Amino acid sequence: MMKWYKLLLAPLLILCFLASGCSTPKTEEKPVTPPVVNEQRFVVYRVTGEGQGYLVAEKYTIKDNGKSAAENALRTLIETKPQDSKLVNVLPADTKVLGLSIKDGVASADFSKDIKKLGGGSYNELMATGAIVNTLTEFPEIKKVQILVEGKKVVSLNGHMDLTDPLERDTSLLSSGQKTKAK
Amino acid sequence: MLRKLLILLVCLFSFALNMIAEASGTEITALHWGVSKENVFRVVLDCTGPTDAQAVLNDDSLMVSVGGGLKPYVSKDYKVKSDTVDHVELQATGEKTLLQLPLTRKLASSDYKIFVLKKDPVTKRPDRIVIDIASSNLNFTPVSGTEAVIPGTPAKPTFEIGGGIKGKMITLDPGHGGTDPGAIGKQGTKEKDITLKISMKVRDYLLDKGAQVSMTRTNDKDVYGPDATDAQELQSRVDVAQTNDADLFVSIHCNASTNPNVGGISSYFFPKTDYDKIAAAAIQDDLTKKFALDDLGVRQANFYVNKRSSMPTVLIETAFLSNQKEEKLLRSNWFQNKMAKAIADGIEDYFAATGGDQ
Repeated sequence: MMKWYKLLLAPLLILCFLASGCSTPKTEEKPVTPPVVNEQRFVVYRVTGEGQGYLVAEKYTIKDNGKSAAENALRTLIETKPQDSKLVNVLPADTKVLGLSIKDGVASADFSKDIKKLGGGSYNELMATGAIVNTLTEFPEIKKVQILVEGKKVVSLNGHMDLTDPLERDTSLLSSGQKTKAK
Repeated sequence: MLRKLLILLVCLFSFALNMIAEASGTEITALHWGVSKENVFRVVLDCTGPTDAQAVLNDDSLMVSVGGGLKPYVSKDYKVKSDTVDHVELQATGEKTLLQLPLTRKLASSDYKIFVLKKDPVTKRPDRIVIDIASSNLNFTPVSGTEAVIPGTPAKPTFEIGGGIKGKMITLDPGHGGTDPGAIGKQGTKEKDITLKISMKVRDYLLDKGAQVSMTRTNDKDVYGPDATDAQELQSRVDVAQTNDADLFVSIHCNASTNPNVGGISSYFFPKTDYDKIAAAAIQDDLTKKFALDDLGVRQANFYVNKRSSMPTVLIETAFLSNQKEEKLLRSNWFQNKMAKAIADGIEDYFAATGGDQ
């Protein structure tokens, strides 16, 4: 096995040498230093606009603004419209993200009281909380999400959910084919 | 051990004597059966008054003789599902009724127990005789004399499954109410009004089927009180199901979305018992068969009433008030009726289907 491998390696090395334009072999191959990280990549879960209520992942790449990628993902979810016009943002338009802290795998996501204007039925509440929790649990350091309003725990947003305890990722809300993490 | 047995025998004897005196005129009105999560097979006989029962255990059967007659409308033969018994027979013999449980495996005397439950005016449950048989892989912990036989010992907060809908206690929760209108449609339809109308119709259908029904509200009010917190309001609804010792808790809602194109029917459960999902599926099945609306499916959700109640609980989202077509449907009397009937049929199917094979 080893011999076969070495045999293959030799012509490869020669080929490399030829490809480099027969120039003098480099004296020292410097390890490629990763480029300075100035952008963040994350996904945000949006709600499907029609038919069966599901969450669909949208990919984002943004310039680093000094905030954590998790906080940027949450802000993108709450404060921007989906890229795809077939997807909707079910959260009330005035909602602000007041903060995001992570401790022992639990992310505490704090929203302004506008989030309580959610209205609608259990569908809206399920989709709104599902979008928040699934977006944040994309990050390996976040296992559960505690939703806070103005720094305090709440039982529900519009009278259906039990938000007393941190919520876990809910893959039943994801459309089939993306049951695992998007990244 | 011997002492415990003696105490048990003395208790049994004095209890039996005491009960025989009261048994005259008592009649059996219904038989229910079910298998608990711990795999205990239970038969409950509803009676018109206090009575007693004696059991004789043979190798191939358990015979229970119950003081009192049998109402003529009570079925005499029941197919059941358990690892010990596959059918149950009732036989009227004048002043006594014989309950025969042919056994598919040999039982020890510690494998079963028989006890009475007194009439409970709070939960509106009648006097009952209860026969419990442990599953083959789980024996009862040794009976300490008093526990098993003292009449009126309240049953552990539990729920019954299977054996048909007759006599089952179902708590209905019309979503929202009072100061909380719930969702509001374009035409001004309030969720709280529609859920109440549908729930009252469901109650009538369930009563017709022989079930017992308790309601979290029967008019336009907050269950806890005006402007209560979500926690107080939701918990007070769960409390109604708990204090009524409900076998099934059904919360009825209308849905709404920011998107007017979304529509359809969904049934939600939280998997705290083995039966939450089965109940939700049974109801959703009837709902989607009878309506040409989108089937949004049987879905798991972290809903308060589903999670915080001890019995199987289903939250039904009948249709969307935010969808113009569905709002119109929800407002109409015939749709409310049809919806109510489908929900009641689904509940009936759940109690007919659940047995010992889950």
